[in-house]
Amino acid sequence: MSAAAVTHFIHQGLFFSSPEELLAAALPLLREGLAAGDAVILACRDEYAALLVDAIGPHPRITRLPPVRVCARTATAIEDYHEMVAQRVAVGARRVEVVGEPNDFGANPDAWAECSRFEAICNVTLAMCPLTSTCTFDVGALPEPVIKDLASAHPFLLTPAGRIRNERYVDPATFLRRFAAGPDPVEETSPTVAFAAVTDLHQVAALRNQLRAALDAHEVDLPIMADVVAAVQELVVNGLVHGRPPVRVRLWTPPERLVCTVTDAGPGFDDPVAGYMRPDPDDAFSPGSGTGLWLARQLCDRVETARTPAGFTVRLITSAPAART
Amino acid sequence: MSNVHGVGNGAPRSHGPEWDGHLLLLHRSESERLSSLAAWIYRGLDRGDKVIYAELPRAAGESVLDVANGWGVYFAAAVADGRLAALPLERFYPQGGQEEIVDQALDAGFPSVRLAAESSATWATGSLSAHLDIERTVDRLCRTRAVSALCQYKYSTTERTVLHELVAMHRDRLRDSALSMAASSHGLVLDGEIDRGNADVFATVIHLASASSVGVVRLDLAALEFMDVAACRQLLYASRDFRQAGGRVVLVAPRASVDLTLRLLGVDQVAGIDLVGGQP
Repeated sequence: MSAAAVTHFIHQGLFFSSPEELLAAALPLLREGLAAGDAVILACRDEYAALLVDAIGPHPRITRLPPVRVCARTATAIEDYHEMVAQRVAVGARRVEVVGEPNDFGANPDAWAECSRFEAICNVTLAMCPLTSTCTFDVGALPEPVIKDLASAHPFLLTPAGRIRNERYVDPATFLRRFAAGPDPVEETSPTVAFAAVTDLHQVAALRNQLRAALDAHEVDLPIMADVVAAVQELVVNGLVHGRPPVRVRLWTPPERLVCTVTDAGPGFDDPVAGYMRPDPDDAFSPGSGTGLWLARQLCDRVETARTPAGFTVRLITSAPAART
Repeated sequence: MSNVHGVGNGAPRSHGPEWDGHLLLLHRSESERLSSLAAWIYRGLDRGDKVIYAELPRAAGESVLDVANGWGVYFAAAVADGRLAALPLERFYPQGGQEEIVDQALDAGFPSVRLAAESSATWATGSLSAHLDIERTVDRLCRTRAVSALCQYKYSTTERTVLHELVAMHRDRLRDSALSMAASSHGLVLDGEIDRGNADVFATVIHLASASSVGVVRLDLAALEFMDVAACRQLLYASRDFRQAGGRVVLVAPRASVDLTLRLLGVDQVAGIDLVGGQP
């Protein structure tokens, strides 16, 4: 198959220990892509982007962006990728070549874990996207375990000798099960509010009002309140319609965050990539298509599902600034 | 906040013109029915109407006069001077009886009349078609005379086909615990919240509106506080035939949170749906 025939997503890790190694691996790829009509987006640190541009020479189809910010919200970052690619393709690009580098986020293990989850999920959600994403990682600057984790989320590796299949690649669902954040520590404390159990669809409106009142009492910003209420709505409806009543909602309000669990009494499901694929509105979001879970993922920083002794729990975590402005 | 009464259990927050006309009330509980009925009565007395409500016999302490809370004294005074009257359902419901009631009240010098009936109770004992005949009479009275009517139906008794008939009969004005809908010169005005619990009512309204419209159905969303995925789904399902035949559904002036839901889900990108901001 010729390179021109590739229409799907290629996701590759480029683990380098010197700028020379980065250039040696990335340059052939970018030159070939530009020659074939691809758009190139350089989202790595300035110093490396400058080296790449100097080596290739100025080109109208090269865009430089700031280094990839590690997304607080994986689901929206994926939608951003879709849009970025669609825009380039709409103006004539054959496909898009991104060379990205995560922003420096120090030694924060949560941030690295979230980055790893994003890397894994995009293998599923961007699968049909005409995009080559080359994720560059400076092995000298990262802890060894982090490198190992990140490596296993990339199906391919880009080396100075070209693209090779990554033998350590782990399929996304397995990866995500391994890296599930699990219960938030705050869940070991008493919830700020444990709402009355809901057993009927007609009780959900009252639950929304109670949830709004609780969030209002904690001076949660109105847009965040609206997002959380809309997300909880979908999860409660899912629990009632696809799970088994009663559905119990609990809310914790640790500083700067909101943690909310929605638990139904059913067996639930074990699919950590559920709710990441954008629903098709032309399909009118048929019931059971995962639209509600997708919306919840768009509206909250992190949404996790877990089978627990109590039933099936969906956990929402989102950041909430300290006080209403 | 919107004019819709508090969701679930609260008393109606207002008693303005949204209670006038031929109004369908879909209630899920007796307390919901009574709080709506009380607001409707208050509105009528406030306007100087003759207010007549027909309901099933109730135990002492359980009629609308007993549970009207702050309005109890006001209501009792209105009963005493003949402005407010209770009527046994069997007096209200024979075909033709409604017109006679209206005539009597207008002859007595009242400028307008309000009729309320616990409709699902009577229809349970008769045929649906006979019941709909009476609804048609009431509808005609509301359109041609100085009459408003509140038709109360228990939500659980309204099957899909029946719901369709009832909404068709009350297409100008309808409310349930979370949502009110009213026809206006600039389209259907939605006030309150639409979710999985009442999306079927919303779908019925959209279906009927699109079936009777030429080209465009406008929905004024300025007072709509919430729409979930189920509401968006029903909007698309119920308008599909209409849109495929070239019709357009125009969603006007949604609030920020509703606007976000519609855009995230891509409803605004669907063929035949226009999402526009600004004034309704």
